[in-house]
Amino acid sequence: MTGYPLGIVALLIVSVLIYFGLAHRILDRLRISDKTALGILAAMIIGSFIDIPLAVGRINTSINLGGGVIPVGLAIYVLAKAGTAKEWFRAIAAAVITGVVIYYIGSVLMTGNPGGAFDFLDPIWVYPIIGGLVAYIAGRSRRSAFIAATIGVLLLDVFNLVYLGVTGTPGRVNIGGAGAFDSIVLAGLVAVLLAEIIGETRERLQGGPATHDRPKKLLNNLTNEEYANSIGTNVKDEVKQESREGEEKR
Amino acid sequence: MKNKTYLYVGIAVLILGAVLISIPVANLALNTQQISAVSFLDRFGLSGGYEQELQPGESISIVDDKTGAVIDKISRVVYPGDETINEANAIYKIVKVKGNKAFATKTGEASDIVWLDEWDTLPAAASEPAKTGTGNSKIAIYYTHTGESYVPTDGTESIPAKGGILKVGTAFASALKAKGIAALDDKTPHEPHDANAYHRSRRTAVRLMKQNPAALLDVHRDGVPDPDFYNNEVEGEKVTRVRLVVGRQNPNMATNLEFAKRIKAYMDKHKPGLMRGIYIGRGSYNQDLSPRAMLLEIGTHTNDRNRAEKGADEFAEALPAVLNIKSAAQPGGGNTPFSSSPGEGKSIWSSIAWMIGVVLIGGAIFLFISTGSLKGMKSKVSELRKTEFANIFGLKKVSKKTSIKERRVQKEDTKNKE
Repeated sequence: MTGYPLGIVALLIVSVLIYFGLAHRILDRLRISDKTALGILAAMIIGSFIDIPLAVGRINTSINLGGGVIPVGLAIYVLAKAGTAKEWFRAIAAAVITGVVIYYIGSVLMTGNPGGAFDFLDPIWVYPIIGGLVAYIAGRSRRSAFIAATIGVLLLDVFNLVYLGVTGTPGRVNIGGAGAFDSIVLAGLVAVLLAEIIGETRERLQGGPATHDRPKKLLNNLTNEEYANSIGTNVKDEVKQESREGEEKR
Repeated sequence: MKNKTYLYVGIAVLILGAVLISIPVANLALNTQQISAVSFLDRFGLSGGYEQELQPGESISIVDDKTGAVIDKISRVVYPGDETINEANAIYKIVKVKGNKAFATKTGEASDIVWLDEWDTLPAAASEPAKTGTGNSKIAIYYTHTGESYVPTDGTESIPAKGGILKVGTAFASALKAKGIAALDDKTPHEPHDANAYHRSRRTAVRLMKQNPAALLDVHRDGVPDPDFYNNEVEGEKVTRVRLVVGRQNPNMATNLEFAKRIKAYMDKHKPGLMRGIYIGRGSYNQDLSPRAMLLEIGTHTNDRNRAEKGADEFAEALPAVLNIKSAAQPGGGNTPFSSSPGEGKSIWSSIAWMIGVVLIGGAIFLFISTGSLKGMKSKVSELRKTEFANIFGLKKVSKKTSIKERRVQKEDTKNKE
């Protein structure tokens, strides 16, 4: 940054602080502790400078540590921690649907000719919005939104790799190459934010999270103290009561 | 379970519906746009439009809604709210788009596009000791649409991954090198030519940014059919003109626009006739990555590529002076900060204020939704201060597991006191 006027340096610092500050809050929503979230962000920033080459035929392919390996690893970790097999299935399905839909929008609808129903959205925003919506419809879960958006954008690169391979077009696939600022990371973060906003609004409207008739494992997540703490209420007793009632009915 | 069946059927209908409407709406979208209350959402990229280019040969004519005179032509999808600054620095705002015609109203003169004489004589880096060798006396160029070509010379408008635009970029880079400025010329292909190309070129842009360039340029050519729209003579040479494109869906937009104005002001004075104008359209063009990122349109597909190369050459020759960078070999050259114009200073603070404002307002709205009351917001903020930040900065070690209990105890204590 040497050589930039003070104002520009200030602008860059403020935008980076806001970006990582928000990212930290969002990772928090994925039931990752503060310190781990901070560690992940630091690893992403340092990892932004590390490209790991992949051997995929003649196409120059690599994956960036900060923009590819870490967010995808995080998505897999979050997936592994998912409460139930159903949540697992929904998250994976949402990721695949997201991948296909954003590919369809960005590469089929938004090619050449004017219009395209989706050209009213900037792809960088299309990715997380589709990811967040698909995941939310499929599972109403913030974590699943993160998984869908992250893996969905990753699939976009896989499709591009296939395209380059099939058509013989020269190209370079640098998965997550923009590091912490890559669309993979942006998509994951914004999708969680979106799911969070939709979720909170919906829960507010219905007067609290639905706890009735839900699998115990998911409810345990709600009673997770750290999470209860982060949403500022103590839902623990309420949820236990509800789940007991649910069991009795069954 | 009935509910589940409904849910799955609902999802299937939604997806099917989206696919179905996307086809006819694709044609409708452009014809039926009207101005709407979208300007606030624009900066989030939520209200529409994107770095869409038309097929070469298709272009939109922007006409004055009062006189009907053609002000501008562009081979991009244009939207109400887009702005264009013409060669004479008149600002027009698009109010309506119908078919391939866009109607614009003159909203003023960009009187700030002016290059003062004293800026030419200011010693570079007056406040900085001269350094040589290191620093950002580099300019980075890359190509999101690597296939763009010039029909009269290249025979076709597109050569995937090997377009004529790359040769124009080479001319650009060698003009910079001739001035002693390091050109980071990255010819990574980003095929195919679609909207996702910006997602791919983002990686190239960030790779270049790691080398700390003074400016980050995405080189394109336009697709306006009329070659004379870009043909011109500069310093007796036949060139194509250069247009700057600023994406308004990016948080740095104010600063990017200031940068564009600065370039135009300098070129208008020292290379009169070279600038086609500034177009401020939807999309972000990866300009969110740097306040010094810019998209250039060097000529159009019906221009002779040699002319475009000359245009690039003229532009590159003058650019270092705009950025106030000099060859590292020159005395006083190398790492010289380029000063802000007063306009730029203002735009930077407006960008910063905008970003902080959005975070604060967004945060407040979110807290209100999530807690449902002002009281809840207050308690959540204080909780944030007590637990989260205490934990991060280690100011006050509060274990999260005990914090709820502690707080409950505290609350009871205060109740008892009352």
